[in-house]
Amino acid sequence: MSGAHAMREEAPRGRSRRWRRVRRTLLPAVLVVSGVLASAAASATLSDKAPAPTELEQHLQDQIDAMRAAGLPASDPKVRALQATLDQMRATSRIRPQRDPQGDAGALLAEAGEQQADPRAAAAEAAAEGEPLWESGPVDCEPVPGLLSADELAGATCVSVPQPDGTSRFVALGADGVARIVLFGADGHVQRLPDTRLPAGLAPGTAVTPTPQGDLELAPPGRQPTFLDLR
Amino acid sequence: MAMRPTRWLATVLCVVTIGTAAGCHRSDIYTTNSYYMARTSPADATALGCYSSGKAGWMTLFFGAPTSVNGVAGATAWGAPDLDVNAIGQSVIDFVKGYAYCRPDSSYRLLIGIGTSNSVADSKADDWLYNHGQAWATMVRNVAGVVNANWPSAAQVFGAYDFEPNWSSPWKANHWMTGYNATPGRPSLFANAAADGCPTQTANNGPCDNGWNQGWVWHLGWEIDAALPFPQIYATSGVNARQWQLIDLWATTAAGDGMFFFGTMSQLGACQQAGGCPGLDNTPHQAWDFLTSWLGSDPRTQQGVIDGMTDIRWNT
Repeated sequence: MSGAHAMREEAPRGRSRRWRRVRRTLLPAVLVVSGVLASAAASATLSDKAPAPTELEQHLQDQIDAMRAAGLPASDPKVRALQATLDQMRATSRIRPQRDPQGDAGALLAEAGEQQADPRAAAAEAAAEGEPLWESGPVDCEPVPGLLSADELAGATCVSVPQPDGTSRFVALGADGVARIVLFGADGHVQRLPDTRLPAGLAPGTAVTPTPQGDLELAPPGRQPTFLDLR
Repeated sequence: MAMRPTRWLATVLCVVTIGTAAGCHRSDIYTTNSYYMARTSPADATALGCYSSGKAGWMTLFFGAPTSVNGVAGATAWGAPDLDVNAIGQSVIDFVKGYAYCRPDSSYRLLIGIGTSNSVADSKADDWLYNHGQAWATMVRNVAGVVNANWPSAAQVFGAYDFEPNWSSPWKANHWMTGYNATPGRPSLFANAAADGCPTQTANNGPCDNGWNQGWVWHLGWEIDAALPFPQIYATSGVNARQWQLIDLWATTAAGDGMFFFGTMSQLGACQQAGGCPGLDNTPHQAWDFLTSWLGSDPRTQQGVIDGMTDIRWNT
């Protein structure tokens, strides 16, 4: 090897040594930065990737697909509405759910538990607080699905009569002189009670008033009141 | 939508593969309960939401007939004190609160309809019904906003309308529905409807009870943009499903706009609470099977996917 060659070769070696020193200095930093960048990129990739659809999301997608397959265009108002529902579902499914953002669910559930344990006391307490569980007095005559039909309510006068035990009676006093009664329980129990014929019918102008005992006072104009036992 | 050549393929394949339609039902998690809301206090509604926390999918909370409470639109809640729309909205918010608090799986989500009906609508003026529909839609929209802001992954909120021919004339129901539909930003509305007295053999716009016909039921249950049909399939004979299939067939052949059903509603739970209602107590699966089967009886009405199954109960 000649000296010239040696010099020519030295220079690169010198640059190389310097480069190696630079590399020794920079490499860890580069690696750290690269690692951070790679991690960030990977994280971004992961977070950008849509999560697998929930079963409910898949149901809605199936529904939309079926509507489209049936010939409804994407612009159809119902397809758009369902798509908007699905889009909202997907957009919010990645939000970390807050179990109780208003901070009162536990207390309300505890209160419900107390009411369930003692419906009578709960009804009394609610009434005392001015927020009774049941209406007392005249109410709109409306069908009670499966229990009291629109035909039976034709021309009737309807009254809600709370009971001391925390239940209630929805009473339809028919123009035909028959009282039709539905019991609303505090435990999920709803029942049509036997019809009762009013002894003297229901004279025009009769005042109907629930009593504290859970009966119904019927006071025709100018006559003694009678009482309908609803218990 | 004159023909539907492919929508029924999924069900056919499922039935062929599994052997029975019952095997093709969704998981029971998606068979929800809906409720007649006769108890609506914050504690009651929160507890009901918690009780519903093992379910996901479509359901409705019904608040009774439309009424006014001190001049504000509301509903009767049967024997309970009448509620204005503000109280009704709060009750639904409380329900969602309980649901979100108790649900065992954060992927569960309810699609909740806030419901009223055409009950006693004949006693109301046309304008009153239109305005009530608008007030209801505004409330539903606002509640949807509150729920989306506080419990975005737990529930989405819609309107609901239980219209039944026996309960009012079609014009009265139409006034309410038109008011709802015309409200800016209104969410869709579940048509949890009955087809009282509608034809069981023919699809020629035949008469239903009380001045209705197949066209009226179709108009309110489907033609109105907001409406998503969830028919009441109560009769164990299957006749309700047959009635709806014929309404759909008339709509497909005569109106050129057949229906698409989003789910079925049964009332087994309410029947059990009330001591039974023989002949009208389909299970949710029976209701779904009847509708699927009758729709599939004619290629023009076949529908492969009926998503929802809900069974109504009383919340007392």
